Amino acid sequence: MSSDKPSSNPKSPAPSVINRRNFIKGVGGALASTAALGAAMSPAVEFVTDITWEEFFQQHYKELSAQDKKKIFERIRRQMKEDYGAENPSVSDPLPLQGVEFGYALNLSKCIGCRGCVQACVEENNQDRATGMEYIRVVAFQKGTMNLEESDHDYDPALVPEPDKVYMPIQCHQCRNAPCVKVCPVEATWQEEDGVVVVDYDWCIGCRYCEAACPYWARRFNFSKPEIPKGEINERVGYLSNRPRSQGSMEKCTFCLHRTRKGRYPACLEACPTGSRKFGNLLDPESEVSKVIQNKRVFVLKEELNTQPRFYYYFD
Amino acid sequence: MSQKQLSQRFIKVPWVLLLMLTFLTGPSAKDRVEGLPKALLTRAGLKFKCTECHRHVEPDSKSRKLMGEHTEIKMKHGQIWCSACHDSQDKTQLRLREGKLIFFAEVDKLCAECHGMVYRDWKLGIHGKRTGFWNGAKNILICTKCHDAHSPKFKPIPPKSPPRNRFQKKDSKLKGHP
Repeated sequence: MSSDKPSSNPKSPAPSVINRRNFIKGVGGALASTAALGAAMSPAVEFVTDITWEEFFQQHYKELSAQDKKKIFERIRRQMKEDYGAENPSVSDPLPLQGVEFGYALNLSKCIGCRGCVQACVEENNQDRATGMEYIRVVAFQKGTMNLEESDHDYDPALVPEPDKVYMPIQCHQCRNAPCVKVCPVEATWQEEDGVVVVDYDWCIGCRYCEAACPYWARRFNFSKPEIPKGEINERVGYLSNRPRSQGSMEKCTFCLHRTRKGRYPACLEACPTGSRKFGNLLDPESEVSKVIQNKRVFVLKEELNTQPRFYYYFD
Repeated sequence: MSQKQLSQRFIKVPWVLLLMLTFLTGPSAKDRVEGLPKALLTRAGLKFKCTECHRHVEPDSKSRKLMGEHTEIKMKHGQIWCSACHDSQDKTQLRLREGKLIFFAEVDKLCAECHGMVYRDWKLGIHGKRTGFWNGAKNILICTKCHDAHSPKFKPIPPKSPPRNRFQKKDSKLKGHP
């Protein structure tokens, strides 16, 4: 409309002309949009405060070269010292052993529900103490029943075992047909050659799909940066297992691969006072876990889901 | 009778050597067996051999309440009494059904006489706690390391604290949705 009129008219200046009114309008708009952008970004800004640039641009674990790993392990060592007061941390990534497929067997007749395994796991795997994260959940059934819907997680009698209860510890079953691996949109979780399902904590985007997909409720999410009191951190860490995690990453039981790939038993097994837990190589017919399968009546939890766990339960 | 005594004395020496050899080498050369009981009694800081007293005591195979000595032993192991396992003459040794004497270090052979299935499982590594290396040297616990031979059933123990949800403070007693 105004463009039809001659521009010589002093009463209606062209919009590009900066006068006081337009200037104030422009500054106001700019300020408002900056504030809005800031407000919108604030969660992200808060979130990334403890993530370094090298962490942010780090490659997927499978694509790391030996040189990269060396650098990253050094960074993890430094962070463990700074954040958790570790004195002499050692970081490694033991590779799957040739001809080994890990399996676990648990004797429900012997388990007394003391939660010794739970505590040993928390201490071994540097789980968050602030929120009380635990990989193993021990459920109690009334004797003669095995209905998970009616199971009790919170039992707390003075002494265990209670005479009318059966206890069942549940942790990651390292399924051969793992639903959690299938749903991961970024391939941050995968199954290693020895059957252990692992997570690259730095590649994980924290969508929690895997947590929803797991029928055993074996995955845990770090809503905040894990807190570990000084002196309680386990300084011998594995890259794919018990190194300290960051906020927003998923984690899970790895059969203590930093121990088991070096030949040792998992921490939960060594903590069990009744010897209910048996661990070994499924491919070796002489291993303890194979002997259980050969000699006992074993079953897997939620067999109908075809997850094909490597975690067997048995009675004797 | 004298024939038998003679033969017993005759076989005793190599048999003891054999036992010591098996004890030293263990079930497998690299594994370590833990929890071997000692045939010694500690009183007031001094160590007595069982035979110090028992050579003066007439063996009594009847079940009874123990007075004076061994009052801490509460038998809760089926219907058995001392002489079911301990040799009535030589209290530093145990006695198998067939009459063979064995050291405490070999108590598993005695347990096996009644608990054959459990013994088989223990040998296979299914029964009992093992620590160490799943593919290497194991620390194997002998029966009496975990079970009190006089009252073998495990005593109840207090459980560790129940799980918390992430909104619960450490000492909160609230329960509910995990």
